Amino acid sequence: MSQRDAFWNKVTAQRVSRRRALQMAGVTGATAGAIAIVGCGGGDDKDKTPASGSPSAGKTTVSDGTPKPGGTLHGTVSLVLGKDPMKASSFLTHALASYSYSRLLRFKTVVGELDQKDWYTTEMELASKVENPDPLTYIITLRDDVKFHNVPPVNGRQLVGEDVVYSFNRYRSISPNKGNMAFVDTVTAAGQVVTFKLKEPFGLFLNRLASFQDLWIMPKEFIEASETASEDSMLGSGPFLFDKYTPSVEMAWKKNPDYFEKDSAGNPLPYLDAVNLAVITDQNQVLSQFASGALDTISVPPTLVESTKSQVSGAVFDQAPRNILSMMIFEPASYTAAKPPFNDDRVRRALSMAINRDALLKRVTPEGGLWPNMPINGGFGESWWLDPQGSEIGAAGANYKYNVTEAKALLSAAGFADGFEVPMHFASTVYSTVVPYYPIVKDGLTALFAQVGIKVKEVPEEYGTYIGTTFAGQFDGMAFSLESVFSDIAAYWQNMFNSKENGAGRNHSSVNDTELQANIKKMLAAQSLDEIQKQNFELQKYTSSKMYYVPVVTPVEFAARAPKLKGVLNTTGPTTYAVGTEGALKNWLSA
Amino acid sequence: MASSAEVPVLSHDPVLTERRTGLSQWPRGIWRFSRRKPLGAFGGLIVVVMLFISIFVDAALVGSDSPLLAPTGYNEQVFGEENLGRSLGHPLGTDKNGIDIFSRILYGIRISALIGLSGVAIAVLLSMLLGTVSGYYGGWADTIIQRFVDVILAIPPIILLIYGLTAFTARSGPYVRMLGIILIIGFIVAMGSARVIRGAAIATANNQYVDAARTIGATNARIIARHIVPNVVPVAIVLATVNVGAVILAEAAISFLGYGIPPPYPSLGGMLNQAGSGEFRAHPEQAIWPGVAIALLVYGFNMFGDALRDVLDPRLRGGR
Amino acid sequence: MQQYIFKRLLLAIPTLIGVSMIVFFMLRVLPGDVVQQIAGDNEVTPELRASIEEDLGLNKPAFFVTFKKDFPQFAEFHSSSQYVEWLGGIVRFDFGRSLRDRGSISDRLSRALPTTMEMAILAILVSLLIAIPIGVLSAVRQDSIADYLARSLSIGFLAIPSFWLGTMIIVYSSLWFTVSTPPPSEYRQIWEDPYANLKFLIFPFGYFIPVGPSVLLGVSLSGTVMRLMRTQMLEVLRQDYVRTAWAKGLRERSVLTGHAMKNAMIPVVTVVGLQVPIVVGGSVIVESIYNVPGIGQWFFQAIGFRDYTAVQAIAMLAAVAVVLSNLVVDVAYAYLDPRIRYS
Repeated sequence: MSQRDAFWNKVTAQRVSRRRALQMAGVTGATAGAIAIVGCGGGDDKDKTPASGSPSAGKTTVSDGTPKPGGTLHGTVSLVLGKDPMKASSFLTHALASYSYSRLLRFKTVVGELDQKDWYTTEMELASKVENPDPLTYIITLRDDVKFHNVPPVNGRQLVGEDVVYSFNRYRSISPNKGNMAFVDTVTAAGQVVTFKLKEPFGLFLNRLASFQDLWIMPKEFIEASETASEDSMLGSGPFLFDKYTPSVEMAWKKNPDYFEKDSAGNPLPYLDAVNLAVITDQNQVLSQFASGALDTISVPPTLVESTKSQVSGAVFDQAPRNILSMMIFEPASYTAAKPPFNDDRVRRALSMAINRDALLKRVTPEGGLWPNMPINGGFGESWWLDPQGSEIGAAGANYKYNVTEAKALLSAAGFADGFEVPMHFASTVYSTVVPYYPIVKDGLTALFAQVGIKVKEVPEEYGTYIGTTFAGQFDGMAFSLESVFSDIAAYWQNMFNSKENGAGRNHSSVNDTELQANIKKMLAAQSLDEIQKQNFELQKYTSSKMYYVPVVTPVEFAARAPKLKGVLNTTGPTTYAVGTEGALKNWLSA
Repeated sequence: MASSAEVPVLSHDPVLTERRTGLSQWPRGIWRFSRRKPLGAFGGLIVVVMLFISIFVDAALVGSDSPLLAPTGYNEQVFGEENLGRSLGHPLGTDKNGIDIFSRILYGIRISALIGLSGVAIAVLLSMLLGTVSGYYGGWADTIIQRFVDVILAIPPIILLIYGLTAFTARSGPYVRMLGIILIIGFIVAMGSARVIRGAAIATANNQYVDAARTIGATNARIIARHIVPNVVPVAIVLATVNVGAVILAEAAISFLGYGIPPPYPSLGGMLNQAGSGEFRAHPEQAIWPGVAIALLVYGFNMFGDALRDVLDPRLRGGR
Repeated sequence: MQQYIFKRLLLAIPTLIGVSMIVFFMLRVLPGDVVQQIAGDNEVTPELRASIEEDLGLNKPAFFVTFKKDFPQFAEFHSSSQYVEWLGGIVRFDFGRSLRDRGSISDRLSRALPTTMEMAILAILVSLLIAIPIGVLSAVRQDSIADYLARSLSIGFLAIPSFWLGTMIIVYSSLWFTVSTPPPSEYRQIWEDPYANLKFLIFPFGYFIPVGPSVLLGVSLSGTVMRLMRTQMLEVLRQDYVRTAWAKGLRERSVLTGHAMKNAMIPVVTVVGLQVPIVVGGSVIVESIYNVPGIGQWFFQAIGFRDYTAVQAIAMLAAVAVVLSNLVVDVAYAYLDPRIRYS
């Protein structure tokens, strides 16, 4: 067992036994077909009291029973930043879009536990067949039973290849994310067959099509009905019909009775009659509402898991290494004009060694000790993620070890024996509410840096200022930054390390390493998955040795749900953000 | 953000008629004050204690930052000692960063008191300047100043504060922010007070002795300095005392919202900043004491200010 | 009287124009590029910038004149500008669309504004309900134990930060009794469902326990009113006509309500009007804590996300509310106290 496996076993503490239970249940479930498995990935069975009414309280998981149609799922969303996934850059908008719109492919999900090897692999959504005759051509045949919502002006007409072409052209002209598909040359359609011609090979093209931030298929009649149609409503081919949106109050969907997918027993999906997301920004409110039973499912900050467990009896907890990264970023002049001190990799490595990641994690999560989010998102799973504490990372692993003596030695070798003073920018609003560990980790960092003689001058910036300036690379010294979701692995490398001319939106520090960029290009052009994954590991080793950005820590995140919510799709992996089609689709409520 | 609304009470011109007392009279004065105004004296006591804490929380007077009254520094994080309960070493426990909460509160009282007092000092100076000029000269100067005051007072103070702090201190460190808060709150409070002081200035300017001074050739500057200012100073001081509490609350609110003084700098309001993230559900006791400290501080200043106003405002004397 | 009202209305116009300029221009000097925020994680190419600016109407000059350094053409006038268009929109109650959630601001205002107005009115009522009896009592029994008790209590109310009290109420009621305030989807306007509405604003946990946002705001306002009421009563009670009333042998109740309170209330009316900006400010905080879908919560989110159009609209409306309430106060004052009208 490699160290990496040891880590994942820790993440998935009780899953190993669960997986075995799954296989056992699979034997009986295979005939019944529709039997869903409790999928509380790593959840806490010991807190399930018999009083909760769940028949399966206990360590050996058995089936949820037959899915029961009906009911309204009550969830919550902290912000609504628009409804048109092509116009918005926020992952929140894309997540909401997944209730009403569909993609050609999506990421693989199952009810219950998905094997890690399958994380971040694609499966068909609108597509029924994918052919890849040469590296530059993808021929995708669409299902012929897909209808748009039966709502004017589209009135339930069939979804055809031309809709893909229309959506792609719209994406390419208006989406802030259009850079993600810059490698696509042309898209043409004949009936249900769509042909993508690429300008250059892109081995992860199917994953890019499944990305929840890019190509959603939207009908032309709806978009062109009025200038604001796509901002007032949603109309696609997804499992839920847009019902209403009241600002600060709620966003609601009804079941799409004509949805094209059936479950394995042939019953129509989705099971739920309606989904209602309350708009609540204040997390205190969210937790109170969940405790009182007004919400069925919420996400719980890691610091609050213990207290929530003791306050809400019967709640089921799911945990997932989420796709948020936290990192120290450095002023662009460090790389563009070799401005000291951060132009020197010894200083950056010293900074990394000064970070006691275990102690920081302990502050923000009771589990402590897990490092799931560096150097890339742990949410991509073990096929993609290189364990910074494992043996495979080699010499670069030393950069992640807390080592004050070595950090000081590096600093003095770099000419900063007495340390230095440096501004540290960070966001003082919004994150502190929505990402509660952010300010705690930030405070801890100042103390840890002080230990090696780096005196931090804190520069708090309210969110608007932070995003408009620091996040866009206009700052001095360093900053403590959060990176929201990367929809696929290629997006991470392209956005963080490509030069800005190549459309790298999140290269905050203007890192410009031509060797690294060439290697990224090489990885993206590779055609076999094995080769791509191998090169991806090499890239992680390389960036870990250079420390262009110094990864900090992101705790595992938790979701809590009421026991009556069943049919929960695996909550791990990069797929969770398309909550509509990859989550709510197979949810159901027991009485 | 409250009591700028005290304004109408003082739209008359109180004159300080209290007999001057020598230094030797102080103990007796304080005794008489506490006999007549026990609540005010209680408030005064709180204020004195709080000021004592503010001054001696660390050895700042001798230019050092080592803690004096506080058991530890305000940002002395101890890894592994997070979220401890109450103990002898940590009378109020430790916070999420392993810092002694009691120490943070003592430092927080200093920040609150500093902002309260200096914010009000700015307000007194600015309102006297605007009020006197506006009231004494009248005419277009008066019109311009009054319209300006109208505009500022029409915008709810919290909006002005958020605007102002974002515009001027969004990318500054804690000290510049503190200065920004003091100046902006002082400015807003001054707008409310300026109008009252203008009234007092007009009333004074209409006195015969001012006419007399003018007839014998006194310059405007001299009249303002010798006659107007001494008469509006008491009004300004009374306004100031009743506003300290409001200024402290305003700072706490703005820091609570994340626009003020950020952690780890121990603003009492800022210590509650993470309330919106639900963090206090796990350790609700950590949220209690900063709030109590704010309330106590404001209570002390308000009680004291109230009593002081009763004493200084002769119209209310002997009412029993 | 009509002439007086007219004069006051006329005076409000320059004030509102001044406010509109501050509201409009202060927002544009805030650091943080709105285009960058819309673009999110993406690199802002000039092309993307142009398309976003056009989408938001930011491609026009901000003001109708721009000043330049180069002589002789030191100023340039523009036929259309963002400011003028914005002012024109306001007059038609058209505030455009939100830069963030792209919804119509007027639509949202029509729901959020009544909510906050109602909350403010309820808060003021609550404050009067607490303040007037206590103020009168403590003036009549000046320096008695009751006076001290009442005053310490109401000054205590004034001193407690509402954001702290609100947080404590929500946290502890959830921890101890597992109850929460109603979810936002249950909010109804008062004319739709008075019970649901009042449940939100007054007794969020049911059982008619008054710890809602209006009560919280009202309590924090009551201290000011109470102190004023007491001072005014003290002053009025020393007036000759009150002494006369006493001398005539009228009963205490009739002296207090008939003679003293009537006159003592005049300045109280003004102070109630002057509290409008404070209530609006307070709503920013309590609405967030209690999750009330009003303009305060909206403002706070909007400014965080640089939703210029929404922030402008809310700040402007708040200012209009303040100016209007001042106007009402002035008129009421002039009505109650005829001396004002003629000075």
